[in-house]
Formats: sequence, structure tokens, C-alpha cells
Amino acid sequence: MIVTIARKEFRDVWRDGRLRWMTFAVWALLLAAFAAGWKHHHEFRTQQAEAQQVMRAEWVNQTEKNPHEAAHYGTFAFKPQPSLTLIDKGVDAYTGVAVYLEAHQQNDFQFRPAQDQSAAARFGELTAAAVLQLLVPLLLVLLAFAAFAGERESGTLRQVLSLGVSRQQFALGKLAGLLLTFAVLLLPAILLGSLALLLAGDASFSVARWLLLVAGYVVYFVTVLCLALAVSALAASSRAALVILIAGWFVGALIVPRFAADASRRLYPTSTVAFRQAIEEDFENGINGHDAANQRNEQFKQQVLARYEVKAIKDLPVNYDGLLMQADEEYRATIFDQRFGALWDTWERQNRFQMWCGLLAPVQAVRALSMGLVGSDFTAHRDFAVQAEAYRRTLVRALNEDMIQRSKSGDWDYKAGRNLFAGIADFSYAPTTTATIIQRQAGSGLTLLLWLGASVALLAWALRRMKAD
Amino acid sequence: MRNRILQHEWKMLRGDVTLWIALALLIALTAYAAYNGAQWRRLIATAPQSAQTAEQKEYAALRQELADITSGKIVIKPDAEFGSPDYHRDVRDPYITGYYGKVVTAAPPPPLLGLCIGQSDLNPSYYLINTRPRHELMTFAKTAEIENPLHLLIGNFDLSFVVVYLFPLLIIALSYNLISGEREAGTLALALSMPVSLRQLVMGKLALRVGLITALALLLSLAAFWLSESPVTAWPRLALWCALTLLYGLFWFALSLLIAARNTNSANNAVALTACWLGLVVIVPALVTLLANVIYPIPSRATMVQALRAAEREVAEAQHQEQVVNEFAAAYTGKFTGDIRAVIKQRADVMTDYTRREAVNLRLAGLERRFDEAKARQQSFTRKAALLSPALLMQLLLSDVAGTNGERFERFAAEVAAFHQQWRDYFTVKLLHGAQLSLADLNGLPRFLWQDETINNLSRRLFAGIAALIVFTASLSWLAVRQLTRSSLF
Repeated sequence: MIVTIARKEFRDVWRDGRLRWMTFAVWALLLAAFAAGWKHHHEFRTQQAEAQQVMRAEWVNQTEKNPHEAAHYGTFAFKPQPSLTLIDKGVDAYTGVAVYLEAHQQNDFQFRPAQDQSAAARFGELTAAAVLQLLVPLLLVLLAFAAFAGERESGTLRQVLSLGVSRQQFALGKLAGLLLTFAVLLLPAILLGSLALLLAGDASFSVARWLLLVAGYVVYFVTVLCLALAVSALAASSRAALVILIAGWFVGALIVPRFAADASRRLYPTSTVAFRQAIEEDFENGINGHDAANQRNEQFKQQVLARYEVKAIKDLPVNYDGLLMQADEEYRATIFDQRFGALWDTWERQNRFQMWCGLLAPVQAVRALSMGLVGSDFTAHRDFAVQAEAYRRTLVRALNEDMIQRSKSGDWDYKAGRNLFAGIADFSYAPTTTATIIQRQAGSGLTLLLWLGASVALLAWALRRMKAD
Repeated sequence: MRNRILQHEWKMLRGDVTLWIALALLIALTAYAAYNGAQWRRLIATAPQSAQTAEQKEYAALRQELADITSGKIVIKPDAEFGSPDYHRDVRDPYITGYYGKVVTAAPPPPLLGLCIGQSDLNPSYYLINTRPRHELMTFAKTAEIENPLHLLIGNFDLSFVVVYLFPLLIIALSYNLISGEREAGTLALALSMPVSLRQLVMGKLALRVGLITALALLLSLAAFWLSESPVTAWPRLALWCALTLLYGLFWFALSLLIAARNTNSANNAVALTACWLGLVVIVPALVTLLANVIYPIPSRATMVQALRAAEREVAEAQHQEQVVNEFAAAYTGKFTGDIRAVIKQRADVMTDYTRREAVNLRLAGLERRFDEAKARQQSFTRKAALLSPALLMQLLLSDVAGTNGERFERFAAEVAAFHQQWRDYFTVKLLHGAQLSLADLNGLPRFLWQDETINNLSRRLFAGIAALIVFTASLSWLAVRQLTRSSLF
């Protein structure tokens, strides 16, 4: 019986010209978004990889110079883009593509692509993720809003139920039919996506993440479908069902995300000015006001003199300037770890809060899940930023070491060459493990599953309450 | 007769609960958006303010240092080693003061920032300027607001969001059943049995709604202007804002009328209008961005970094030294009459680095221009493509009026660049002359002055967009009225 209902539902959708047209439109948008994502990803990856290579060559082949001068010359780290991001660009346009690694400073990432785009980009770019998160649910609503309400209006609901079909069977048939319809749309997309990702040949590509991503979206779609069916069963008319569902979509897709962002900002405020000032003050006056810069330097000098058992700096067997700069680097490192750590923790708290707002609108949860799994959320950016900063410290330490060991205090004419520069290993980013990435999405995954459970329960309840006419 | 229609309609509308809910929602969301705008306005002003405070402190210290040197309180020992207790920098040297001092170049917050946050959360609201070359200070500026990238992605809840996204929905909710509602209730035939034509009836119903909604929208714009703490002097821009809101509202009314005149049932009208809304407000703008990125892609700024490194290498190479000096001499021939090359040789300690950095800047300028051109091409494409979606067009126009569009920040950057040139020239010419800075010099440094676009200029620039909105609205209305006169409606 269920099969018959499903088959009938499936046929109905394909017979309805408007629905057929809309389904193809969504498909076309998905395809266009996918193609554009592919092109952008391909170009971007080539540019970033080339830049990283050139930067290494420039570093190795730089003219002979004092190690500290070389530390100021510095180098750049370019953020790679995992191939999965061709589906979901996440916050990549707003985080910057490269970071300058130099002496004394932990820098912010530079060159946010969004800064180069016009205000139109703020409407949101058409990515595959946008189609899947915003447009597909709307399509599902259009497929399902009349499922029960429409049958009731045409009088067929009572007829069907009088045939001895239980409400649950009827609903299951409807659900199966719609899912089947939808699968015809979705399966080729999944296959196409898999093929493209395999062709992209990215070492960081993980099948587990891809499958989880597909599963996450399927759970999201089934949730939306169940909600739509439940509303269709409860609503007085198919028109009312449509109005309720579209209003729900509108609130979920446009209002909740902005409110959630605002609320998270108010709950966990940050301040650019306070952040920059705090770093400066920590350095000048010492962390928590202990050990101001000049005091620190004097203490350090006495320590060094005592360690080498000499009276004056000029008697030291090593370069005091190098020692002092390295000590300073390490002091700054503590400051940076603390201040950047606090800022980023706050952002992650804001983001987590917004993810939990997924309990109000599932799109919040699926967005977090999607960005997280493809590696284009802020946490992925942070992973890279932390490694780049660690490399900066290794690089500067190696340069200071060379200066300490190979030159005398005050000898700024000492020059190091290729041997030193090439001897410092290149930066290589170790991608976050799949296990960690999946673990981080426990919250968003759970939220989606909760929604699935709730929507199925709501549908079951709605079916019992559904009026036959 | 018209008055009777209006009176009757008003009675009907007044009794409609959904109307009051929708209006209450609009008022509440506008208030919230204005409150948000005010918050952002305050926030964005803090960074340049605190930088200016720091600048004042720094220059006060510089003046003190200079006074101490002149009075002999600080003695400059030319042979003292850098870092030793004897060492003291000589702030009379234009090289030193020009290089270490930092001056803040800030524009006041955009006039209607509180109504449309636009691109102001992405672009630096100030730059720190000294004699270092432009690329170091601006291309690699570190003064942008630090904001959670997720918030930047999601966008702001400001009045422009309410106007562009929500306002049309309210209009649709009020007018989707303009004719079909009467027909479905069975009152249409009754009404038309009186001495009134269908056109008159529909126009009467429409006029009431247009009057009601536009009056409310204008009132709310004024309230938001006040709530968002916008400067009173920005009232001409507010007037433009109101005019745009009015036009945009009329467009959606015209579209609703056209759909209503197609003579289908209310449910069909609602679906058709919602589909139009979705297409014009959500899908077309996203498609336009996608096309802009595909047809006019902006290369990764990674190339900028590569060019920087290549230029730095080139200018340090022995065979390019003469060229570097020539380029520098050419740039200053008009501004300095003495023998530039001799001065460069004489003060090789600072001038070698000085000229090289300038040469790097020159080499990057070409690439920078290419980026600007790529951006301009994409922008001009977007401006043209915006004609496909009144919502996108409206968003661009509103951010133009508010002064928070990308172009304003580009003009700001261009003026800061010009000011930087002036600042750099001031110190460089003094450096070339071998002059020493006096207190009077420090007090008479060039100042950055920002002038917002005049309202005349702005209106002229917006003319095409406004004309497009009018044309859309007029042609839709014409089509709708033609449909109305032709259709039999039963």
C-alpha cells in the first residue's frame, strides 16, 4: 500500500509542470554554484600554491643580511583551501588569505577577498551550500505543503482513509514518494560532487567527512520534509500551510541568523581597540602590570651576566642583543598566546552560541556542520593561524640563535647567508585530523538529530490530530 | 465616490488583525535595526578616536623632546651607539621624525552609517601615516576593525536590511488579494454594480494601502534617523533615503497590482508574489555575485605579496641602484631645486633605504592599479546587472546614500594616499635641504581634511539608478492598468 501511495506521489510531482520546472531550476542553480565553486577553488589553489613556492625561494635566495634584518624581512604563510570548500566557502572570504611572519609581531591575516568585492556580495554568494541550506528547503516546502491539506480540500483524504489505509501508512507513503522524488534530484548531485572531489585530488580530502556532510544534509532535508508534512496535516487549508511554512522559512533563513549573531555579540563582546591596547600595555608595563619593559631588560641583563660569570656585556662570549631579542620574543609569545587566545576563544564562544541557536532554526546547525566539515569555518582558520604563528616563532628563534652564537654584542654588520636561511625548514601546514574535525561537530550533529526526532514526533502527533475533512 | 471607497477600505483594513501584527512587527524591527545602527556607529568611531588620542600624546612628546634638545636639556651625541644610554634620537632630523611619527587620517563615520552599515565593517576607518612608502602603510595596513568573520558573513540587521528584505513582504501581505479577495468573498460584483469602474475600485483600494504604507515607512525612516544618532546635517541624504524607500515601495505595489490584475485566486497570487520576492531579493543578487566572480574574477592578493618580494629583491641589486636613484630624483625634481644625487650620496646612511623603499612602492603601484581596475570592472558589471533586481539596485543605492559603499572607502583611501604624498614630500624636501625641524614646523604639519561627497554630486551619481527604479515601476503599473481595463474579471 505504502508503495502504491509513494508511486502515486512521485508521479504527481513530475506531472505538475510548475513543480517540475522549479525542481529543474534548483538543480540548475546547484549546478551553476558548483561549477563556479570548482573554478574559483581551482584558480585559488593554484595561486596560493605558487605564491607559497615563490615565497620560499625568495626566503632562501635573499641577499646576505644580518639575521635580525632577515627576521624583519620575514616571510608569508598562505592559507590552503581544502577541496571540500568548493561546496561551502564558509567564512573564507572574510578571514584573509595570507599572514606576514616577521620579528616581534603576531600579525592578523591580510587580504580578505570580501574587501575587494562590491556591496552586492553581502547579499550572499550563490554557493552549493547556499542552495542546499536555503533553496532546497523551500523546494521541499513547495513539494509537501499540500500533501494532506490539498487532499482534504479535494475530498480525497477521507476517501483514502476509508479504504482502510492507516494515517501512518498514508504519511509514510507520502514521505517515501517525496523522498524518492527528491532523491532523483539529489543523487546525481551527490555523485557529481563525489566525482569532482575525487578529481580535485586533494591530499586532505576525507571520505568520512564527505559522507558525514551528505548525511548531515539528508537529515536536514528529511527534517524539513517532516515539518512540512506535519504543518500540512495540521493547517486549516493548504494555503494556510504554505503561508506558515514560508513564514517559518523566512524567519529561519533571514531573521534568526542575524539575531543570533547580534545576541552572541552582546553576550560575548569583543573590542578592537581594547585588544590592540592590551597587547601594547602588556608589553610596556608587563603582563598584569608586573615587570615593565625596562625592568625586565635590566633583570635579564643581570641574569645573563651571572650565567656567564662576566662583569660586562662586552665580555660575553655570545651576542647579548640576540639573547635579549629572543627573551623579548618569548615574553611577547606569552602575551600573544594570552590575548589572541582570549579573542579567538570569545569568537568561538559566539559561534557556538549561534550553533546552539540551531535549536530554534535548523539552518543554524546545518550551516555550522557544513562549514566545520569542509574546513571553512573560523575554527579551521584558527588551526592554520596557530600553526603559522608557531612557525614564525621557530623561524625567529633560529635567526636569533644564529646571531647569538655567531656574532658579538653590538655587531650589526654580521651577515648570514643562504646556509642559514635554507637551513630553516619551510612552513608546512599539517591539516587537522578528520577525527578532531568530526568531534568538533558533535554539537551541530546532535542538534540536527534532535530536530529530526522532533520533526518525526511532530508529524506522528499531527497525523493523529489531522481532520479528515 | 473615491472617498466612499477609501472610507470603506479603511474600515475593512482596520478590522484585519494580520495588518496590525505586520505593522507592529515592522515598527519593532525598525527600532531594533536603528538601535543596532547606533551601536555600530559608536563602535566604529572608537578605533580612530583612540588612535587620535595616541597621536596627540605622541606629538606632544615629540614637541617636548624637540624643546629639550633646543634648550640643551638633551644632548645629542652623534657618535653614541644605538641602544646605549648615551644615545638619543635627534627628532630635529626630518628623517627620524618623519619615519617614527604616526599621524591618524580618519574620516568621520559615514553620514547615515546608522541606517546602512554596508561595507563599513570590512574597511579600515582610518590609516596611520608617516614617511614610509604607501604600500607599507595602506596596502598592508593593520587598522581594520577586528570582527568575528562569521558575523561579517551573516550580515547586519540594519534599516537597509529591513527596507530591502522585509518591506516588500509587508506590501505583498497587504495587497496580494487586492481583487481576488473581493471576488472570493463575493463582494466584487456587488461593488461593481455601483457607479464605479473596476479601475476606480482597484485604484481606490491601492491608494489607501500605498498612502498608509509609505506614510509609515517615511515616519519610520525619520524615527530611525533620530534613534541611530545620525548627524542632523545629513538631512539631505535622509531625504534621498526617503525618496528611494518610497520608490522601492511603489515598485512592489506595482508588481502586486500586476499580479492581482492577472485575475487568478488569492492563493495563486500569494505564491506568485512570494516567488517574485524570492527571485528578486534572494536568487538574482546571489547569481549576480556569482557571475561577477566568474566573468570578472579578482586574482588572489597572493600575487601582491609575490610582487612585493620581487620588487624588494630587484631594488636591492647592485645593477639597479642607479635606476633607483634616478627614479627618486625624477619624482622630486619639481619639488626640490638642489642637486638631489649629491644629497643622496651625502646622506647615504638613510637615503639608500629611503630611495629603495620608494622604488618598491613605484613597482607595486602598477599591480595595485591592476587590482583597482579589476575591482572597478567587477563593480561596473554589478552596477549594470543590478538592473535585473530592484532589491540589489536598492541596496547599492541605499549604501551610496548612507556613504557606506565600497566606492566611498576607495575614495577615502585615494585621498589618504594623496595626503600621504603631501606628508612624505614635506619631510623629504626638508631632508633633502638638510634642514632641521623646529617647533614651528611641528606645529604647522599638513592636516588631513575629509569632505563627504556633496549632495548634488551624489544625486547626479544616483540618477541612473533612480531612473531605473522609476522606469520599472512605471512600466509595471502601465501593464497592470492595461490588464485591468481589458479583463472581464468574472
